[in-house]
Amino acid sequence: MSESLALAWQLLVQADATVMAVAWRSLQVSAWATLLACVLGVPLGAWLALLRSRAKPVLAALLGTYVAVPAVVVGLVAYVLLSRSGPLGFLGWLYSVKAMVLAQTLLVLPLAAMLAMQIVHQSQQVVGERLLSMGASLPWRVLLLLHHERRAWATVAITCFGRAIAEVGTVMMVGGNIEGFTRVLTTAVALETSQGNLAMAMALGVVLLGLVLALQLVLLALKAWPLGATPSLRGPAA
Amino acid sequence: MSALTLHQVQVAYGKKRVLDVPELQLHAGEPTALVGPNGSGKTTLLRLLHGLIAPTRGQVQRPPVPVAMVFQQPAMLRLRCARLLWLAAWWGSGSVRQAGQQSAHWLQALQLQEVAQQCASQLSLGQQQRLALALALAKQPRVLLLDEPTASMDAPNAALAENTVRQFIQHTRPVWLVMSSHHPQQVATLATRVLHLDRGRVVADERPAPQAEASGLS
Amino acid sequence: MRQRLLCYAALALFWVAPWVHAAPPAALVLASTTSTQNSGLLAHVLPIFTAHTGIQVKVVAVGTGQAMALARRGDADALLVHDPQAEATFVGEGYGERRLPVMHNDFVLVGQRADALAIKGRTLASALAALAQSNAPFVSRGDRSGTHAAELRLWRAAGVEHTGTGYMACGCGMGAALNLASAKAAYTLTDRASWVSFKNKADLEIVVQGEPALFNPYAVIVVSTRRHAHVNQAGAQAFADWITSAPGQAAIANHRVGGMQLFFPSAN
Repeated sequence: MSESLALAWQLLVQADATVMAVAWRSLQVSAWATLLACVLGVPLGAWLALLRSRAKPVLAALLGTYVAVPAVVVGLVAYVLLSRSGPLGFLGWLYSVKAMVLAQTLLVLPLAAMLAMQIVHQSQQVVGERLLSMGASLPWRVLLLLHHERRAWATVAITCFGRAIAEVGTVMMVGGNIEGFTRVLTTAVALETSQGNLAMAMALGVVLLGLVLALQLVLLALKAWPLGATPSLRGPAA
Repeated sequence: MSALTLHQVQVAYGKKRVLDVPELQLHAGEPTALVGPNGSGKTTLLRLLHGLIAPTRGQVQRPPVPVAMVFQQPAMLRLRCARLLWLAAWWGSGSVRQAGQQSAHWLQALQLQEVAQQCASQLSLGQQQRLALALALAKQPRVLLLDEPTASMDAPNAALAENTVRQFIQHTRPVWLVMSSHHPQQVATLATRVLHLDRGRVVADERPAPQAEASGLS
Repeated sequence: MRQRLLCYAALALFWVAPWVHAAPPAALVLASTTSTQNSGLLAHVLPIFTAHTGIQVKVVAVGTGQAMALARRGDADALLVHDPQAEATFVGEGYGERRLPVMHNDFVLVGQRADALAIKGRTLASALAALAQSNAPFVSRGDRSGTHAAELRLWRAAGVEHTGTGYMACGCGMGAALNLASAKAAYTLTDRASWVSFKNKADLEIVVQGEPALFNPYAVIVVSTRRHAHVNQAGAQAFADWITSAPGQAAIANHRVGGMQLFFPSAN
């Protein structure tokens, strides 16, 4: 274990070029996937929360099931879609970064939608009647509730990012873990493990955790900026 | 002429019957007050009249006119007051120009100019209730429903709110006003008909003689 | 406020950067086995090929069976695999142009150093029979790879019908299978190249080697455009030509791990 930590530190400090490239790629793929998943998923979740229809419990159950689909199955579905013999084969995205972004987006989209649905549902119970009484149409209610809960979306994004960057099954299947093209931290860990390089595998894992931690700290600092001082643990004023 | 009526209406949540009104007709130009203990069904009746809830049984007939309501809990959005008011006015009138006029008018009438650029959810409770009234009136409603509208207001603000409502119903025809209140004075000044509710039923329906202070109501 | 914007702009680099650098010229997708990747052969040989021809190679390293499935779906342009029977079927069905021998090495049977079952020194057939009879722990690839196909042939050749209760089919790559064998002190069949480059040997060592039946030939196949028109046949053909020619064969021979040559050129 200590050997791995020492190795991880060495990799970071010496800015080992291969590891840096792989880490950068991991961040980019997951950043894009998080962005797309939130842009699509959050309004979807908000709409679902405001829906008044008999189909609503069924849709909510379907969403819950989608959240629980294993990453490797999502990868399989993405692979079948993107394969040359598949419906999206003409795009030629297989074994590229674009394929990995698509696969990870498919993976975290339901998570973004479900979190948004829960947040907006709670919000709607407090403020929903007011909007209805004011005469707001459904699109306006979605928009205003999304704006009303704007402080929650950063947290939703972080949650999705964490899930996206940590998974290996989807990106392995549609990316192929190709050195120089589609290798990311998680697939590199899998590869090193399969070669018996356990210390290196662990070190890469530590690098991954370090990156996510660093990102969290940056976002925390940005949130607290208006208050001027160091980030307060009490959180923003209501 | 179109009426606001309830016919054989019951509202129940599961086994618990919250409202039971066999027959009720509300008339335009006859401001009506709902009085009764907490839990007697006043809020339910108001929400029913608005159309926010549907009766478990029976029919509610509403005139095809805009309806606005002031809720017991203000529950404001995290949005600037002026913008929120403008939206309410815009949705009520459908015209951008009228929206500007209405929102400016009610901001002034309810003395909200100082807080106009502040976030609505960060106002004091009394200010939020004034804003709630402004939002309702900006919609240019013909049916105005008020649920304890001055509950969190101090005396001067409450008087301002009452005057505003009174002026509104004087200048708007036809208009239905239904309000619930715990203040006998408020009821006496504003209403010409008083419905007493108890445990979901209308137990009394009075038309008290107009008082000397209640000038200006015709 | 300005600093905040600068910060957001910096974060935005995440989203812009991938699309800024130009896409590389049409790369060749080579589906190969875990043994060629894990042993470092491809990392050694392919840069030489790219320098020579300018063609980038994207290697998808999976088992032989999966590699062929990929090629059947049109997701690979060339194959570098080691299962002669499956290769013949592949070409016979029209998915591949033809099969060109490239290199070879051998399989080895690895197992417990302590050798409680007295496997060392036996012939392969005798060793396998003994393992099956004593229900010794044995890890099988179980993934239709070239190694798995060879393993099944060897059991049949040894006359073993039931492989014993210690047989574990992991459905995994060579590295994972070796990890499993290492952890469970089990026996397994592996190609020598993977074995030499495996870094978690624990108490395992080679117990049987050198028999003709353990010969492990690799071949390259260019995927045919008859089934999938979009296949990068020119690139694949260039690769096949190069790897079977003198410079390619020399590159293979020059690859050493720990001073030891792992693959032996065998193109005609």
